[in-house]
Amino acid sequence: MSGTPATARSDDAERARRRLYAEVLGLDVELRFLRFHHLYRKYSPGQPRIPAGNPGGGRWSDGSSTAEDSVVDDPIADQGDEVPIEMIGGSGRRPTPTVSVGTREMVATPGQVVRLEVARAQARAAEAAVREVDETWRPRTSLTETVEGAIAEAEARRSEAETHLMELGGRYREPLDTARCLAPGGSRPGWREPGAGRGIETVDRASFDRILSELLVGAREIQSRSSYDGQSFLRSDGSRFGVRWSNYNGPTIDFTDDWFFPSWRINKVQLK
Amino acid sequence: MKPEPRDRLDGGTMDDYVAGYAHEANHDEIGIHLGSIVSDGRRCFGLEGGGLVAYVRRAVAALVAIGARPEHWEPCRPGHVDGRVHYGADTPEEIVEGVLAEWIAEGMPDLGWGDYRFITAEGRAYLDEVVEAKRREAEAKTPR
Repeated sequence: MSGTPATARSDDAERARRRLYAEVLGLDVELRFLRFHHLYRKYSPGQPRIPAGNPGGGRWSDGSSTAEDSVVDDPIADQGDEVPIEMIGGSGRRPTPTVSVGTREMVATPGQVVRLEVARAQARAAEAAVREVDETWRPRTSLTETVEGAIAEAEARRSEAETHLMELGGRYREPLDTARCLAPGGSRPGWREPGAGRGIETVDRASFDRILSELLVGAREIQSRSSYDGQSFLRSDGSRFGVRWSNYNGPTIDFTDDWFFPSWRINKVQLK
Repeated sequence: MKPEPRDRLDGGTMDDYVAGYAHEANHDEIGIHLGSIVSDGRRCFGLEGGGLVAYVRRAVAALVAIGARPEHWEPCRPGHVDGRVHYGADTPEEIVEGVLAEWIAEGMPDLGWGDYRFITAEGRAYLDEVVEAKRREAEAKTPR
């Protein structure tokens, strides 16, 4: 008799069942988050409503002048038409998290945003280490259309770079101490937003990526506190930091200690 | 009258610092922790003793006034649930004085990142949801 033995077929079926189960659970997590986020947005006290007596009176509005055009009726169906940040409550919460996948912006859960930020930063660090010994090297690129695919692609790039680094006999350079990660050459990496607390440094995307990649060199993930909504890391200099999606400020790096510089200090880095 | 101290970094005022704490609690779901306030008092304004207590009291009162409430975030361990800290009937005055009394009784130490985190109700609701989503994501990745 030819074909696959019964036990192998059974293993395949079990793997397929597990994959399917994981996908269903993942979708459930995403759906629950999106529902919550939209309800949360819906009940923001600062979000304008259409005045009573008008068509759609009492319903949530996006703030535009024409009531008919501005109704935000279905908390799930308006995915592609994000309400501007300034309309979402009085405290400036961000809209549903999104990440760039290829040329598209895709909705993601906060957990996925963090995993993608970390995976991409680790891939950049590994690629930079390779280029110190092989300037011409470039990772293979692959197309992906999902957030999980983008995370897997970044993890594969890191793995490919580390394999090549080993083949070349190269290694990661020594991790910079945390103060130097934050302020290379003593230069302030960003700025303090008006009204923001001292210690909260706002930076552009290039600085955010550089800081996170530098911090992750030689860092190992540690268990986060129960309420911390991100991933936590321990650096070789003994300092700790966390990466999370802030509902108000987007990608954020938290430090458990204050880092002092001549005329400023940093305990949190937020992406503008 | 003695002028209010300015910070050693950029000459900021205490008013500016205290407003910044309230802003942070209102604009970040994880709020702000007492250790950050104590550190500012000591390292930025050079305060100790009664001056430091007065500064911390002023900052905590500003946080409680906007609805932020203290929580302890312990390092994660099995079965642990982070918790609100309660003082009497939890009136604003009781919370402010309760936090101050505990901190003073401990010898006014520098505090850890998870000690007395001041979180708004809105921030707590968001954290609950995200942490639950994270738990379910981890569960989804675990083979059955």
